[in-house]
Amino acid sequence: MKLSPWTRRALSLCLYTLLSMAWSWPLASAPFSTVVSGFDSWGTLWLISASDSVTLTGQSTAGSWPFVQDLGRSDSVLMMMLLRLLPGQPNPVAVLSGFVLLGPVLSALATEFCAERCLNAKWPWSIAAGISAGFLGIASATFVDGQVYALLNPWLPLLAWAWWQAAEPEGKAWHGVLAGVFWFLCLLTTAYVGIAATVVVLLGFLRFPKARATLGAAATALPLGLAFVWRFTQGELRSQASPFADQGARMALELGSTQLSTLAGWVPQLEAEPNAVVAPLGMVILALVAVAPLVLTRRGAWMWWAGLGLLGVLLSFGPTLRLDPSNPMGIPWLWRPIISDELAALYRFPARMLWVTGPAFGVIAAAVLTRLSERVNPWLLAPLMLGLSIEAILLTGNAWRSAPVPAVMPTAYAHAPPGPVLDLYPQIAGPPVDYELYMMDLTCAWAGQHGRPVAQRCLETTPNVDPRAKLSAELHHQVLSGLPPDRTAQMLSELGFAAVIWRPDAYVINERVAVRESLEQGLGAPLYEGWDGGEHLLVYGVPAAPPGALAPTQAWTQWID
Amino acid sequence: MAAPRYHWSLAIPLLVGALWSPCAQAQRLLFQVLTPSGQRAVQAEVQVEVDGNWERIPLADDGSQKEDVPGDGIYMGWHEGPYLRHHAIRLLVDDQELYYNLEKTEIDDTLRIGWSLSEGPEGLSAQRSAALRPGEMPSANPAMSLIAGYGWGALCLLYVFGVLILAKTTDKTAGKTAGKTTGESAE
Repeated sequence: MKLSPWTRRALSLCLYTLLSMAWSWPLASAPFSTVVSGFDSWGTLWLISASDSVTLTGQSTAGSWPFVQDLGRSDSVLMMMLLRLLPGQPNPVAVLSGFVLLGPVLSALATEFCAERCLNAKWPWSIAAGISAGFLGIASATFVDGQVYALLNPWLPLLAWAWWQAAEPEGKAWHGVLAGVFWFLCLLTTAYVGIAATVVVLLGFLRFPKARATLGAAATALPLGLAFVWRFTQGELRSQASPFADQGARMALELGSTQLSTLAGWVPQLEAEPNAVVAPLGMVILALVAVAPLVLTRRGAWMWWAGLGLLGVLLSFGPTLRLDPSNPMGIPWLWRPIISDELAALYRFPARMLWVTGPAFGVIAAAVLTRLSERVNPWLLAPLMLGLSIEAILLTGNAWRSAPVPAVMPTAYAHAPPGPVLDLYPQIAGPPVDYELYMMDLTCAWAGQHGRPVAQRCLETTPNVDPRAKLSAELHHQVLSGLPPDRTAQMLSELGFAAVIWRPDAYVINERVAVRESLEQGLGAPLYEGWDGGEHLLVYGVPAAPPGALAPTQAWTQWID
Repeated sequence: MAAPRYHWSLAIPLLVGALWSPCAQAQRLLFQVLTPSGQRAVQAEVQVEVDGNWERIPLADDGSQKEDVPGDGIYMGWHEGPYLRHHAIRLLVDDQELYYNLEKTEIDDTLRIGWSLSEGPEGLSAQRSAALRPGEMPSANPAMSLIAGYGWGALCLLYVFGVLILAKTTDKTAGKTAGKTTGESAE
């Protein structure tokens, strides 16, 4: 049966959509109120809502009260730009779900197109390329970690296609211009995807793109790229260091690298190691790539794709090639000679070089399947396509690694008086080591829904350095040292806060009693006590600052610095 | 000061989400303690703080707990209650407090929290560990994924080779030359 190109594309769209729903289940059952992706989802929820308050200079008043927060180095400039185009104030949880459910679908469709145009893969075998890029490998790890904005990445396969065409005999200047635009969109998606895209471009020079296309690419990418780099260097560093940075530059890089076991498949024990990047490439894909020399033309064009995919794998191992994350033994690897503290602070996740591997190996797998389908009964290849779909769910472990987490803001926030909010909780030591970051990200996510300024420097990955942590430390010091409670109230009102949201259950019992007594003496009885949303919260109102009081930033200097 | 931002478009999805959500059931916490091999039987208990009160949950390895495999060295106990994102949790073994922390319990599903005990010169100590399934002794070896993953990969490769051999046989039978079209136009 001959299907029209539109019918084929529609069938692919349906298949990817179903796969996306299964891949991220149970998200599709409650996309407006639940997140299933990991830790970074909370910070992303804040970033989604902060997008509409970002100025042209990249600053937002939504975080870091009483100061402003610089978002010049935020995770995804592209996500913020796309959200600015949406009318009204969309539900941040729904937007996050949209990225998870639709991002891989669009990435897969673009890779399928790339496989068809570059290595003449035929439908339905080109679907293998889509699954490899959209659902396997680093896409799976990205979903589990919660950096969902990177899942919407059709730009990288489209860049590969445009740059590939630029080196073909019929390559035109506009192929180069398109490549420049797609490279820039990769850079705007995340800096890591931008670096992966740069690898595609550099390797593409080995195919000698036409001079007119190269000029077109340069004319587009250079000004855009330089403007981005200038803005990036002006922005505040989002994370000076990871919570593990004291373990040294090499350790920081190794935590963000892959190992032979994390590329093979997910088992629960792998995640006992902090920050293990589990990114299975898919064994069906690897098997098809392995037989490519026997099926496709010897020394054919596919070898460029193989080189690209392999380079991504080799670079993803970071400074040491190891069997698994818990194994201290390993072979010194490619990143070892170039490790420095500066590099480790800026580039901590060599695993993200796998962004080039998924599309590259997928394109080869699609070409191999196409060639085999011309020589044997195509039904013999159906088990491979089925296996590939199952791998996307089972081998990646997504079916077990994603779990429903309610993401509807506790009602206590709605009972706080209008104005900046201080989320008060203690410093929490002990495992899990990143609990501080979790509390910050969670309260930032709620800030995205209540819309009031908060003192957290949301998206920060170094704990205890933002205004909230400093203020919380000062406030607890005052309370636990028995200083007069009215002093605490005066400090909060001069700093411009309208409410304190207190989390009593985060304290040990004796301190809980002391803090509550002090808050009630200084701020009065709680305005509201809530138990919903999985949190026990008390809301205290802060009296307005008296006329002639210092501006909040000046009060900060007086009280805190 | 900025007023709270609530958009009307939030109302319907939030209502639908609240009604049709996987997060509407009670939260279940499964606690498990793995004893070192050859360890004598222990008396283990987990205490969970709920509404300011400590709820005691005895752990057992005699099959009396749901999903427990008797005598496998994994002591288990269950807690069921309203959904909470954090729980203050203590672990006591032989009346000695070995662990106290605020645990993140944000998943609205059955959640496993596990410890492994070790005997040292200063007595027993407990370390948080990846939770295990009943009867799944410390196969806590990440190399399992190497064996399982690459073993599956070898099967895939065998199948693909089988198809390839069949293709070559078919080519010969049909007297075709092994025309390799894929990728050629791109080269």
